[in-house]
Amino acid sequence: MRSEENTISGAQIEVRSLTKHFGPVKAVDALSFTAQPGSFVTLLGPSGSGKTTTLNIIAGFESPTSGEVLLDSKPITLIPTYKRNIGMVFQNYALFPHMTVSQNVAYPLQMRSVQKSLIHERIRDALQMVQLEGFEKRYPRQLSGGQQQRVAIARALVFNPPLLLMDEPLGALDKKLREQMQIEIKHIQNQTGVTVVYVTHDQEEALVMSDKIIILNHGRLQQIGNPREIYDQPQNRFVADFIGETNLFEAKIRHENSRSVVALHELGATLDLPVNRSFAAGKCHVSIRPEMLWLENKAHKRSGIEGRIEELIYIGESTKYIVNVRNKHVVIRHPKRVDRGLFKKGDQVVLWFNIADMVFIDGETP
Amino acid sequence: MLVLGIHNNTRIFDLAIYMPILHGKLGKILLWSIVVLILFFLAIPLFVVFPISLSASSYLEFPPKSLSSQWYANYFSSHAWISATILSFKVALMVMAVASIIGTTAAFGLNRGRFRWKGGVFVLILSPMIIPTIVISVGIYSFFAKLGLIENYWGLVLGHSILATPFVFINVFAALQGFDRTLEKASASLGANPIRTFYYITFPLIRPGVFVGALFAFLVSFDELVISMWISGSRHTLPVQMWMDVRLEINPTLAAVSSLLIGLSILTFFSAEAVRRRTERKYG
Repeated sequence: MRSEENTISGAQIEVRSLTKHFGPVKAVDALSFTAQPGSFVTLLGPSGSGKTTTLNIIAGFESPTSGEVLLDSKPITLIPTYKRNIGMVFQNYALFPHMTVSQNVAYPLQMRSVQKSLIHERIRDALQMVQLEGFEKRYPRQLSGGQQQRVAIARALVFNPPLLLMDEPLGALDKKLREQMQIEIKHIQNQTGVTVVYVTHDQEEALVMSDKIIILNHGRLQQIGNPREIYDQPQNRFVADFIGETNLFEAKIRHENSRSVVALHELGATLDLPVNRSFAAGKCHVSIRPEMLWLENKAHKRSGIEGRIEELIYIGESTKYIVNVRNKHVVIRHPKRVDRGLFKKGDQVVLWFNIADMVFIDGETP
Repeated sequence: MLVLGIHNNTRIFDLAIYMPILHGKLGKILLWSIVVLILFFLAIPLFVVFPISLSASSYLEFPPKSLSSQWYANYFSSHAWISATILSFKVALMVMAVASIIGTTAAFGLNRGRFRWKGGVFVLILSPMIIPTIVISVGIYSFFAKLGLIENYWGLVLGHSILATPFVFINVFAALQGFDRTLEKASASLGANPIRTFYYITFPLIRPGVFVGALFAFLVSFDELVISMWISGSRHTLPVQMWMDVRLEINPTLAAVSSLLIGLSILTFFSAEAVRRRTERKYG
């Protein structure tokens, strides 16, 4: 493993009202965020959300229409890529096919005129870091996808850049290997202290790896937060829907005497809201995660939100139910511990949830 | 010749996929007999010319009654033949350089540039392959005459380069189409400026295309007769010398020269093929 003195400290990266137009299309629209030194920040969004464009601007492959990128408070927008000293890992690895593993890893050091004796040592350390000792003489095509990805990471970090950019680096790997690499990349990041800006469209990957998640859609910032904030307190319907699975309901809050009530007309329910929080009256949306709902047999309960099980999907660690409530589909997930296979397709059931698990999403009206 | 550079992954047995009849033992025999027949047909000139060149007779005699190497000796001792050969080599090597530079830069421009009339420029660069050489020759003759490029080394170089450039262009263009530009981005992110990126990454990976194109350029020039006849004047290139020989005094020296030429072509072709295979093995 790497010794302590090799530890590099990450840089702070700041993006200020970054905008990029491609013709009439605004690929990135006034995006601002900061990544603290040594943190792992993920740009998350569907395809066409501007996440890769943002990364390309930070790397220097594209120039912004307006706005700035600052590395440790110094603007870098006008510096060409090769002078930026930023490591990058590409989706298709982009290893040089005519060079061996060690030649690939040596390349950035040669470009920096590092002494030959030192190069050898640094290659060894870098390959050790990604657990690829003994592969020095192989050509990229002789390696598996996972191994190629490791070489790409070693090559991008061997020159101790303060910032590492990763563009969907695990997209081409199968699920098992991807999960293993997620842990390993986090491990390497902790070891080196490098700041990482990571691009993915995989929300699960973002939740697993990130200190901070930046959610983009159509080039616009949707929400910034740590994984827990993003998952538990989505700020708009896009985020609620994009991160994980959720049930979105139209809601209307009104004040009656000294209490507040919320009407969920799609479910035909009106519920009292907790008195210790204040709610603005008016239309909004409510998001309830499938795992926060549960079912009970209708025979046992007299009242509640009634529905019929339309679909039952056994996933292994949990069972997913799609319940028809007044012609609206509600998704419910029972973990294995509570679900004993008592429900069948077509059963009449009652839906339950804690009022505290409702997330109110303001602003947007249908 | 063109096929080599572009469809370099086709193997003869791939054909069997399209022709179910060629499966099985009988099919294999049929396939091989057809292949051998075609190859024989293509090689007939060699089977005739080479024996004649070894003939002891002073006429073109086939099959030769007795053998001798005198016609080869005659070639190597003849001033006219040797100076024509040297001129052809000099011209062909220069054409190789000129066509490689122009063809490669043109291929880069058309592969990477964003401009209107791209298709038009493409056809324009390839037009020397399409327009009959005799038409080009007439044009070159009247134009070069005004510039004093008749019976001139550089005139020959320029004339041949017109024919040779498309071969380089098409080979390099194909190589660039298959080149992954992410590699250039990766190189830049690793600290290489554009010149170093070209030197260490782009050029090594398209080099086989440039190399094969350059060999073709050499052969096109070395083989060229029509343009040379118009503009070479009294300084004969090898093909012109051969043509003159045929017209004036036919003797087996011609067959000896032809055999040497065929040998050279085969050598060039195989070295091009070897380069292709080596790269394929190395980078898959």
